[in-house]
Amino acid sequence: MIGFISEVVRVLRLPCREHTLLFSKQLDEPLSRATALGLRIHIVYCRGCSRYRRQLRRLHELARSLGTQLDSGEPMPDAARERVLRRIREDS
Amino acid sequence: MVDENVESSAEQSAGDAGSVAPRTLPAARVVIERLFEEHGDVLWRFAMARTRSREVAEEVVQETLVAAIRAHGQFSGLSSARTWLLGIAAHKISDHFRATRREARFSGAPQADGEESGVDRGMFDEAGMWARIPGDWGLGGEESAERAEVLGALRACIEELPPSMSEVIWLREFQGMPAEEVCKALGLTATNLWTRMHRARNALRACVEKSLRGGKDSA
Repeated sequence: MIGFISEVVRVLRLPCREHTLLFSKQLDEPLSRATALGLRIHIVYCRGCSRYRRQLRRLHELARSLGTQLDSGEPMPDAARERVLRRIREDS
Repeated sequence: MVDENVESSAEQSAGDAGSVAPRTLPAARVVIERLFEEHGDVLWRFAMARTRSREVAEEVVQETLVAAIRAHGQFSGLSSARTWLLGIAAHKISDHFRATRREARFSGAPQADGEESGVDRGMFDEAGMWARIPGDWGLGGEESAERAEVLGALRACIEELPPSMSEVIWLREFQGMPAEEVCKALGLTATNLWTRMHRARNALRACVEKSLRGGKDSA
């Protein structure tokens, strides 16, 4: 319990530059419950971090919606495919 | 045009797949041709989305396969093969943009891991507190209009990022590739990826904000 509270306090004391690093990291991997709680408390009173986090998450979500196109969409044209195959056979 | 980084990354990834690499180039070529049959369209769409040029995309696909053959890759699972090929393609696309000197436009941006980030310069004061609070994007307003506007800015801004940033953004954010796989594909440690992602997201956020404000810097 003491460790948990210490971590929350540590996060609250970090400068906002460090908070932005954690907001980004949070999109890649789950943070500890104490670290996440420290961040949640911080954004209640920090307008800069609150906006930054919201914008980062919005970009993350929009990028995902744009990025689902690799499995569908225009296939490689047959002519291009054949040219590539011919060249790699010549090369090796 | 096969650089040593790609070869090394490719060989490492092939090794990670836990299979025995073919001993000869022709044998490797047969394996890679099979992978091309399976993943060629994905490679093509990836290269097209990044380069917006059929000619360059074709060149990227070809160079990706040549690098893969030379790395004597062979895979036990299709998903790892896709990751591996996309990683090589990402390097090839970066090479292309470097060659066209796009990177030079971002001479102020850090290129090597471990350097102090330049993309948040001006955002914070010396104590690391906000010197310039992020602008209001009007995220509480009309959802569809705001979404379209930010989406448009995002599409434009991804093209503006230097290659070292756009490759991680493409694989991680746009393709949703797990962080572990991005590390394997690009030969990065988890810490390097985390740092690079943060810089790239910062650069993307700043670019989108500038775009939404009509190119004016936020006050």
